[in-house]
Amino acid sequence: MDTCVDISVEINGVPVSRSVPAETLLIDFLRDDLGLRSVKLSCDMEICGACTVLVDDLPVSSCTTLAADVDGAAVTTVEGLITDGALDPLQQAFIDHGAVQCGFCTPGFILAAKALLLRNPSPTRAEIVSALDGNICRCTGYTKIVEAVLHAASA
Amino acid sequence: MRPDLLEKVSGKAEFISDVSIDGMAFGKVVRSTEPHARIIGMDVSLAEQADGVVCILTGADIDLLTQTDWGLFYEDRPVIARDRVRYVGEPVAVVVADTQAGAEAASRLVAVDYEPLPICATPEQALAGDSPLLHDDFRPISDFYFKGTARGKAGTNVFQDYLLERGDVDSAEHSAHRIFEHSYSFPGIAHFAMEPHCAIARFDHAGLTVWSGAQSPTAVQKVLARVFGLPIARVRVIVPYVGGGFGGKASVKIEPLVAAAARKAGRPVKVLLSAEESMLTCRRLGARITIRTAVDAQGAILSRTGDIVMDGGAYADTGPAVALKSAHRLVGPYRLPNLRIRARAVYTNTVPGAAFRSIGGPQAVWATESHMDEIAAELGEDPVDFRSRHLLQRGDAVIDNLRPLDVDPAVMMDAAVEATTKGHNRASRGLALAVTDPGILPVAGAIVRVHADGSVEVRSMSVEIGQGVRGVLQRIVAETLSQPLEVVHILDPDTASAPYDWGTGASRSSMIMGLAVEKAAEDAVSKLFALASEVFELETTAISLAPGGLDIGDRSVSFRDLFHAAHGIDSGDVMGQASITPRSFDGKLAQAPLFWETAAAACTVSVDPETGVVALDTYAGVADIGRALNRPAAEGQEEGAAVQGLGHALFENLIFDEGQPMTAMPLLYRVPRLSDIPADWTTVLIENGDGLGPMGAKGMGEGGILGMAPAIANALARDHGVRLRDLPMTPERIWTALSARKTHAS
Amino acid sequence: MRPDPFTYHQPKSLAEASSLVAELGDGAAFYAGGTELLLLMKMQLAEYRHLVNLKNIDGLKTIGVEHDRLVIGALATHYDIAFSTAVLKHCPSLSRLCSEIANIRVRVAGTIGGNLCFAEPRADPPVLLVALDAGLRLISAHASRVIPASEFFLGPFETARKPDEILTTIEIPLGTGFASVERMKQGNYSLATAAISRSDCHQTWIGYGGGPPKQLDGTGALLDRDNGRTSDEALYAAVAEDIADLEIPSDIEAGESYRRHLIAVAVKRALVSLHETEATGVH
Repeated sequence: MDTCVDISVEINGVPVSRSVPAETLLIDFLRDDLGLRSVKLSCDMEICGACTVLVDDLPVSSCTTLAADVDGAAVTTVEGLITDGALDPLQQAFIDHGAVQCGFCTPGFILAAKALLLRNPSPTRAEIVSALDGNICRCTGYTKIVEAVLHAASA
Repeated sequence: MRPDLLEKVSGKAEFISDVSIDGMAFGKVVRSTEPHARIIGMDVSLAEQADGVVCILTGADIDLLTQTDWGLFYEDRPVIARDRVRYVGEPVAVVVADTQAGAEAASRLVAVDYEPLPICATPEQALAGDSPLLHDDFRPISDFYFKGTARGKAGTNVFQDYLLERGDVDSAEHSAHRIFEHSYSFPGIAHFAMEPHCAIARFDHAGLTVWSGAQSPTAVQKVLARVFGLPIARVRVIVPYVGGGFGGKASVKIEPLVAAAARKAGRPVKVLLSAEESMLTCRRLGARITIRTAVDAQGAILSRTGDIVMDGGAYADTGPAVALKSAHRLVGPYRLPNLRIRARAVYTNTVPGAAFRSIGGPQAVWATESHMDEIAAELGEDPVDFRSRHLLQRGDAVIDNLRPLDVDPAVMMDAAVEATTKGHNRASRGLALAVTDPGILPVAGAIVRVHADGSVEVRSMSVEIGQGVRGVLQRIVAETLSQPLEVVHILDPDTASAPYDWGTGASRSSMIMGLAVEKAAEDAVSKLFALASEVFELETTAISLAPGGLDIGDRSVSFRDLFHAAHGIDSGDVMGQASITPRSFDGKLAQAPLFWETAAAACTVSVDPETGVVALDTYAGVADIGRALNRPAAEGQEEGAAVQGLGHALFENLIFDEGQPMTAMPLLYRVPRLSDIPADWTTVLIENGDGLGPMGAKGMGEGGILGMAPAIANALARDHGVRLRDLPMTPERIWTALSARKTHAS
Repeated sequence: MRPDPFTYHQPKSLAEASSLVAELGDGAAFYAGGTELLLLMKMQLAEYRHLVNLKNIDGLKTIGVEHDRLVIGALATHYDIAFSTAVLKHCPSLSRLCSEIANIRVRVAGTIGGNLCFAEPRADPPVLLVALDAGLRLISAHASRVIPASEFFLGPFETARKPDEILTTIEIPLGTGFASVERMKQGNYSLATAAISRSDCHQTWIGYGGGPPKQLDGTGALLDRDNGRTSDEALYAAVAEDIADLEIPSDIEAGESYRRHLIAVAVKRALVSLHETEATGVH
């Protein structure tokens, strides 16, 4: 016997109310029910950060969070960082600094960096390393990602 | 700006795992839990009754297949295991259901009975005289994907045995003053692309269509045509954005299995592997390398021998080419008058080996560059000086009959040394050099189509896997057509619309596909000029390109005007087409390699003597790439490759215990993280415009992975007095070596 | 990977939550941050037909000082604790530890109570909390008790908590001295953890991945004798003797002798940071 859970959540500024089976993972809710395909499934065990979304401005692994857990919260994905068609300075910095290669980890990195800048607008390199150390990128070698975040913070 | 980046940062980029096809079902693979066994029974009845299950593909379904086994050098791999499994992780069934969750749940209900067989857990066991044979017979196929035939030995587990020889090693060793011999090991390494393998297959009236995260779509097409008895013209392969490959999605991987599931299901089937399953699909070949160098009384190298044994896993895949290249890559940028390198690859009951960024390169360079420093230390000579005495120069032969060297190794070495000298003691630096011959087939085609509204479409099979190929092709076409970048659109690779290309790998796309689209754009220009000449009754010499159209005589016409004048309505297009072959450009591409992919790396490290934890403090990587077609992308390739090198240097290790994978899971497999990367990092790109590619570019993207591990080992030896010969150089190994040294000293 | 379907219960009180689990039996589990439980359920390593969510029960996240104790609600996340001014003031070693657990996403979602109840033998917080002499409050529908952290951990993934008991608060006595914790970590898990607290004597505890935190009596006594100024050699010898009979894991992550060595290094480094803490006078 399974149960459905009613959830009301603000996704990228838009209120959403749904009834979902209790075991629904946040990543499946965002990707399959709401079509937010920027949320990427990779390691599926909370270590890589590709599925990162912000819940009330803090990063979580949507692969290991229940949709029910975000009832009443505000969820942000990279789609939600674009306002009136304009990129967030972090998104622009990732482009300008070549901090993107295959791009699969990119939404998670940008959101983890966004969470950092929201609570610390001018982080040091060490603070960036600490905040992003839990996100894995297999392509870039990380140097350009740090440059991009430093640049976005100083802009 | 690269056209893919905007889509990627804004979440709009559609990767293969994002693709959805009408009516598709989802497949979950059931995998062998045994390293080597007979399948004596399989019960799928419970799974078949589970909610939403469409069908279950098993080894009994051979009627679906025209050819049951496939491969690139040998047809040694069953589409799905029939009566026997050869590694833990081998597909034995695919459960197809309406939903991914349903397929996952039902897959756990499949019960398989195995009768274990004796195994070859290691290459040593596989080489032993009485070892069990993994494959009863060898069915080699020639010139199928790589040029040539694998030299396997029937009645053994050896599927490649390659010998590279020059001069007379025996005489040289006989007359030598000293001979140095060392042995090194390199583990199996997971590609760990962020997007796991994924494919969707659909059979319909048109034939078979496959969407895949494949690096070699035409190889997938060719193998699928054989497996299902279809004409190549009825097999279509489409590749959207791919979330990393590094060789792990090259040649052919899961597509035959997924297509077989779709054929059985009678509807499209998507199979998205987990990251763990991807680690059970392919890996870099591990290696044991013994290397011996003879020197004369002045310390000049007389000869070198190498014995490379590679762990090829259960199926050969591209392993024969990996072994061959490892022999070439063991040579190094040095004058070696006499040479004998034997490279063998053997079957073992482990995950199949496959291509991985610079095939055979990191294994060989790990051995040869550690060995160079060990000799220098024995001779009491500075490693830079020792290398300098033996360095090849531009124009020298690395390997007879191959293209002469097209870089200056001394310039590269000096640049790496210079970048790591500031503030550091020269004696503490670790250094490594490498030369590799990319296995690039100069075969590619492209289509450049100019539309009436001035938009331009580029059709090629080059896969955007993160390297930025779409940006490079866009720039070349825009410049050749004198049009702004934003009117040039690079389409998703699709075998139904783009000409044949060998594949995306071996550092070839910017160079070879770059030349193909350049020629195709030139072909479009000549067709546009011919049309304008005819329509406006002008000499072609009076026509030139202008943004949005042409200048003809003293006036400008838009492309729309041109087609309006030509066709009577303002519609139409011009299709430029080009092929690159070994005979293109008067045959200057015919000689291999098209360029030498070279590397110089230098670093300093610090070690916590109590724990053996090593930290990279400074790193400099140098690449001679001819011309940077996109500087941030080119630097990023170098940096990313070097950090992958850091992974196998310090952390990564696919461990198999009696065939059981012990670390094939993201939680247990440590890849480099941001905190492993030093702030003091230098990337030097040498640009002399001397490559054969567009604007003088050479290929690039692999060299950066080569030098990291030996540079760290050499820094450890020089600065901390311990010589590590096994990768990864874990804290425990370093601590053990430091302890042994302390004991020895006291 | 996905968890199998389950029924989701959202009680509003501790009594209701406890009664639910008592009633539903083995197939039910309390659910807090989910960082461990959901992962296990996804991997089919744990199977629960009922999850009883504790997050809607008021007051379980509160952090503050009550009388002579720092009281941390069991549903406070590692992130909450790391940024709590009360914890920073009264127990900075716990602040630092919680700011370094796993990665930021796990710190944001994972709770201290969940971490303790899971009793992962490689986890670091249990080691520090036993050294701090923390008390753990367990409440069921009918009873409430506080047990010392040192009696809570019984073995790998095994605690003294009864199935229907809810860990509600972690209570750390104040003003009893200084504490430090150091861990030796290379992969995703610690290979060795050491925590030392010092009031009238040195309480020296280690985590070694094989069982519950272990107190090093001989080492503690030696430190007391030397007033914390023991030489490295003597300290290493004392630790080695204390753990001589301990069954230390040996696996692909690290062999036994290296792990034994790392335990001694962790103790030594914990002592060094204890001295630094004492020198600055910041608890």
